[in-house]
Amino acid sequence: MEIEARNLYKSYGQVQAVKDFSFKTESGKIYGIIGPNGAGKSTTIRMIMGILLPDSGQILFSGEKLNYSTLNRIGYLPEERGLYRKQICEDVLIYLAELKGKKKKQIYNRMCELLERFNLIEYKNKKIETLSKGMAQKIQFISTVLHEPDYIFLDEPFSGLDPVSIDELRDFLLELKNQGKVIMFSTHNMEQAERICDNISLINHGIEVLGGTIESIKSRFGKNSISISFEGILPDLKSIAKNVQNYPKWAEIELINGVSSQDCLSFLVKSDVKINKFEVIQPSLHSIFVKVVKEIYNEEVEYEDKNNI
Amino acid sequence: MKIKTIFNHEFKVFALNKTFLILTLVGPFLILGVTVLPSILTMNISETISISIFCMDKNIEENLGKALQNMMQIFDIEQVKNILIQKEFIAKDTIIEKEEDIIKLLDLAVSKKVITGYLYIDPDFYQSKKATFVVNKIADYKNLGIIEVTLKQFLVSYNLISQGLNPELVSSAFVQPELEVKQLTKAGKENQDFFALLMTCLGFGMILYMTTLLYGQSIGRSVLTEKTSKTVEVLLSSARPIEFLYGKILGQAFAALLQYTVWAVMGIIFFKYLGPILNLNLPFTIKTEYFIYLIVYFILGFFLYSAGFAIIGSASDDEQNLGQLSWPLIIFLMIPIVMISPIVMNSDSTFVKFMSLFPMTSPIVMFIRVVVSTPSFIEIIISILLLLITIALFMIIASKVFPIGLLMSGRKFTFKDIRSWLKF
Repeated sequence: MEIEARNLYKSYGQVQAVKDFSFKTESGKIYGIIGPNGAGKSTTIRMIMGILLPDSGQILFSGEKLNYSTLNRIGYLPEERGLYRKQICEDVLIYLAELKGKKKKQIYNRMCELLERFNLIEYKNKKIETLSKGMAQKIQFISTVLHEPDYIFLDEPFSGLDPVSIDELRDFLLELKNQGKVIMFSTHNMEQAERICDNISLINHGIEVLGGTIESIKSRFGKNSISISFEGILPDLKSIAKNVQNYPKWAEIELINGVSSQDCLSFLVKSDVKINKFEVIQPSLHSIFVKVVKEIYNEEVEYEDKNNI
Repeated sequence: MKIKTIFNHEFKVFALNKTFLILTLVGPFLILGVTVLPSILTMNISETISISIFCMDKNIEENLGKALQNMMQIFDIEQVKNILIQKEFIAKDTIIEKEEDIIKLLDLAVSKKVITGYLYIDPDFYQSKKATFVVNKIADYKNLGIIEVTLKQFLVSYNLISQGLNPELVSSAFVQPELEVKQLTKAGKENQDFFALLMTCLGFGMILYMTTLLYGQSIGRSVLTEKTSKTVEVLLSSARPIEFLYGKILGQAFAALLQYTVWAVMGIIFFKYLGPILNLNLPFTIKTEYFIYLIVYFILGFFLYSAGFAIIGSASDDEQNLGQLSWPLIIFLMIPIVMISPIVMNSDSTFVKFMSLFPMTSPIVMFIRVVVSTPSFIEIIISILLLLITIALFMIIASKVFPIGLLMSGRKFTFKDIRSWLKF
């Protein structure tokens, strides 16, 4: 199973919401669409789910266009909780599962199991409006996965949850991932994305500014630097390092291009210095995102200045 | 097709709750209470009033008393005095001789509600034509009218007799003719009482108006709630917008029809069985065909207005915005109700005929025409066809505007915005 989007374009009047966006994700992977508010994440998700039609481009679910039966294999958790507040949990869950083509008797036991797992079984017959924000969030999550979808879209799934619930949800998501589901995230929380996603797309103003696996992105933006904590005297590192910030017990070493962290470690081991801590310094997703967006912004300003726009 | 699932859900949410049950049981009484009952009460004040007539010319006093005694209770001054003594409002030995004493006595009788009022006739009535009616409440137009007409006839009779005409001939000239109204219908000639017809039209018209408005607005609000609570995003990831729209409208339409059925059964029980037992003479003309037309025009009107309210609900951002955008629809619904009296009286005029074919007003106006006059079958069919075409048009517009409106939020939208969504 996989989802592939090819050259998606979508505009609202003069506003270009999504521009030439492509991605591919497959089963057993968690894919994150990351970007600030108004970046085009929701539009992209809505196009994938068929709520909006792209102006051009193609979305394929395991090689096929979105059709009626595929809708039943999609689970969607919107950012803002969308539940009938005046209705009881059981009715809401069953109705939303029925809309996905399931019969009540097919999902009743699973519903009870999931309510049990998320400690909500005693709220089964309570109205949604009586639940706390976190509980409602968990009910929304159950409604997303109750019909056992193959494709799961989650928009800010952890917002409003306490740390224990976050762990419960993350564990459950990892189970789903291991079951081979295709999972997509849309979030502006870089830290969460970094911890959970296998692949990401960073989008800004509807354009993908960065994409790939977390590791590949980090290595692309990494400074190829090492941080060490040591005892003794640091040897001369000119042969492997461009720059060394040396302190009595700690140093940051910026390596020459072509020298890997492994080369550095073996160089240090061969010397007399005693290494207590060795860490490859990687930039956070957050800093990468800020850096990329700033670069784009500066380029735009420069372009506008040049052309007197 | 997921329409069935959405339909079931909407029907369940709308019809299986206490509010629906209460509204179903109390609804007809509420509708009657706020619409027909005030008219019945105003026109049916049949309480016999008691008055006194006082004139220094005893001949006038006596003759006017005779002329009015069939329609109201006439007390002479002596009787009024005795009642006041009996009730201890005046002493037994009170002497009433002069004109001002009599007027004081009558004023007291009126203020103590011993009599409803008194008619003071100028002693020079034939010349001055002046009379005063003193009452403790002025709202009784029916009896005021009777007194006015009687005084007028009294003066005319006097003038004719004084000109030498035979008094018997004069009195026979004032006998009221009996006018029976018969309506020519397909079934033949039938007795029709205008008041009963008006009340029937008002009653059924109000049922059509109120149910279409209530259910239509309920759809608008329900769409708005799903939009603002973002439930719609989940729903649209499961079903097509058009399924969502049709399922919602059908679900509520069936809830409304269930309510209509209960009302029809209640109506039959009330008019056929309880009415005769309780000796109620209600001014309604109820026929089975009226219920059939009522249901046909309700369904058509309901679909038309529901599609309109659904569009508006999807385009609104809050209750206030929904209220503002709903006005044009509400005005079209209100026009036939506001104009119900002229519509009933001139049911075959060109303007009323136009209203009975114009889809926004035809559900109520054509129904009234069916009750009041006998519109041709072709006219009825044309009105139904025009309604069906407009409903189809509204549904097409709704299916275009609905998904866009549902996903747009953050500001108040205007009809210009809605028009621009049609281009997407």
